[in-house]
Amino acid sequence: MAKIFFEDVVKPTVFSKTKISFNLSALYDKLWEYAIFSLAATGAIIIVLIFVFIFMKAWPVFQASGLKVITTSNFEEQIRHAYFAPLDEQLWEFGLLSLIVGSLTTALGALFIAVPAGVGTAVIICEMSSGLLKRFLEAATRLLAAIPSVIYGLVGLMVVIPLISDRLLNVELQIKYLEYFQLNGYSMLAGIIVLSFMIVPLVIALSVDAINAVPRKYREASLALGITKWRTIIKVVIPAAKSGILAGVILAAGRGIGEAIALSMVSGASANMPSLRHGFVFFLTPVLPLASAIINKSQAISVPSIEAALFSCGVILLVICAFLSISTRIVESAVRRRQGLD
Amino acid sequence: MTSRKVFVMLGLVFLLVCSMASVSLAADICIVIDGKQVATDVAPVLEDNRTLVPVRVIAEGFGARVGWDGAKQEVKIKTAANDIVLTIGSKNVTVNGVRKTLEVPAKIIGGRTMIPLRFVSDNLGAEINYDSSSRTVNVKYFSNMAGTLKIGGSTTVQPISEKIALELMKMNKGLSITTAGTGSGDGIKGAGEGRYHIGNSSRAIKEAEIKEYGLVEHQVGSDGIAVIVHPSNTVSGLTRQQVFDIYTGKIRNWKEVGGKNAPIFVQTREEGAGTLGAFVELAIQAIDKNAKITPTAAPHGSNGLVKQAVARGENNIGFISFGYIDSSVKALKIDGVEATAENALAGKFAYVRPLVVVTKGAPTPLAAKFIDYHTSPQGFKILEEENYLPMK
Repeated sequence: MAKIFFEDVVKPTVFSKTKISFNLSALYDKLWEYAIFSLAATGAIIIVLIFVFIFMKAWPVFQASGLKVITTSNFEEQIRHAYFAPLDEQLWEFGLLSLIVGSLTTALGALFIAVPAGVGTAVIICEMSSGLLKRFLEAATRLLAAIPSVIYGLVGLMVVIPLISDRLLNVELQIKYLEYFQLNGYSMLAGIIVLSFMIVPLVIALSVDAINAVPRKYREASLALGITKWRTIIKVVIPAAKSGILAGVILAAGRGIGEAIALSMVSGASANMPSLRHGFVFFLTPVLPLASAIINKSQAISVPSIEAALFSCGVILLVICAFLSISTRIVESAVRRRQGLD
Repeated sequence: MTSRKVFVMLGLVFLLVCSMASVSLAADICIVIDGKQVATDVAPVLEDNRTLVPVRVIAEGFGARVGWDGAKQEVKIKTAANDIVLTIGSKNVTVNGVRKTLEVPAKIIGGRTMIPLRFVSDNLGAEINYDSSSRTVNVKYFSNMAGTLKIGGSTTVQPISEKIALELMKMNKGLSITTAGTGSGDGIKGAGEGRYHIGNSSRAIKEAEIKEYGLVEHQVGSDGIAVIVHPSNTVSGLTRQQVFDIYTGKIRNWKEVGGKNAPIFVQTREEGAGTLGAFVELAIQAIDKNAKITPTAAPHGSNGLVKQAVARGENNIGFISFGYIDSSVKALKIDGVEATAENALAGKFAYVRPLVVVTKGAPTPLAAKFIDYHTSPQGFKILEEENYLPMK
């Protein structure tokens, strides 16, 4: 300790003896500083420009439809009409509500499965396993996180869809609902299941970090009071790790909302509005989430109004994700304040 | 005595054979187009020091369509860039409406119209050499191309464009062709905006589009659209009215068309696909102009995805280009007519659409040759290999 301290004090005086070298090194420092600063600035500017670009492209749709963009839903029909409209009489009115609902229901549904499963796995990894089991679980989580989403989509197509149509559907039900939509397994439920597998690793990874960060003394204090291990986890460890877990959940929600490929493969790809009146068939409705819509409808992107409509899907996605990202901060600071950590 | 006679006889036979060989050698002027010898029933002849060649076989080698008007004694030759009318026995000829003169009149030999070789090279953009030592007419039409071509549009036409581009680039060092499968809508728009030299479309071009951009369309082939179901489906044929009713949502159960009691899941294509445009025109709007495909239909991104969806779902029905039919799905008879290329060519099958390429105004000489390749014998082969219907 003392030696390092000594050198730190001595070094500048050594350099200051030769004035030129000192100035040179200062110049170097400044140069590096500016270089890195300009790189950082470029990055930030590019991000801002992307936002501006997307908003500009989407603007005609927002201008023509106003609030209807998020309060009405007749997307498929509107795309068809826009496609056949003459070039000088473009139709700019679009209602994306069914897409927004599609995105939110699949993402929320996936969270509903992935959060308990993820947090539970994290608890097992951190508190209740050791040695081989722990290493195996950690490796499996990492592997799950590294699989490209299109693979999840394929698995969904080959496993989840047949499972749903074999177990949950029958001919009478299919005939009854054909008036509204096709009940053939491609559905919100398939999207939820596939998506939950995709976001579970995120929840696990962030929860593990959060639980590991809980000071050891909390656990020791709790155990010393004679509280069982299980109650310690529920009452002490998880509440203490709450802010980190919540951050993970919100991050996972963002991932779920933004997922395109896997969902476009399994969720039905047709912009229906799920209705609670249909009972459990609500979950079997084929839906078209925002991100999938951008992919699926891009065949007709040569039409300017459809291009703008797809960009407005992008804008809504951006807004939702920005909102999620901001709420992470708010939740984190709120939880910390309540815990008296700030 | 006998041995002498035999020798004399042998000598005579030998002479005869030799003279015959030399005579036949003198008659055979062969024609080679782009490195491939062309079979002709009437060989080219020399007259007044000019080579006369049979016009049909050469023009068809260029992908031209040749027509014969017996009453007017006129031969009409049409390529993507040129429209030529020859009159038998006359030196007059019109090229794209402009009157020109032949060196010697067109004449008929052995039922074939013969014209001076020079005319072919001067007016059709071919490069022609006559090699007198091997008595060969060397014609270069598709092998004297240079420059760049940008082609885009229909995903149905894209595989054909790509194969032709490869063939042409193999033959021509200085030629570069890029092809893109971006959908018929984009092909038409891109050609109109000058992004593509040639735009591909798998549906007829709308009147409004032709006017808007000043497009010229050239049909390069046709394609049938098959209605497909799962192989296990007991229905083997539908009428056009039934197809219409299913796709517009009036019929929703397979038992109404002779199948089992099960829902009909209609599979369709995303808006902008040429196959969808053609199907709507041929199967839906042909019966009711204002009808549209049922909103419950599940849209897919490509012919391949529709096929996959139908192959996996026993209650599904879809439509795909003939080029995509295989044993994983069952193509239905329409009005009792099997979905085969022969029936489509014979005009018996209901859903046949044109494959069209468009250029803004008249095509450039380079683009014109690319278009001609579709209707040349090599082009026919490519279309047939890809299961489309050539313009024979």
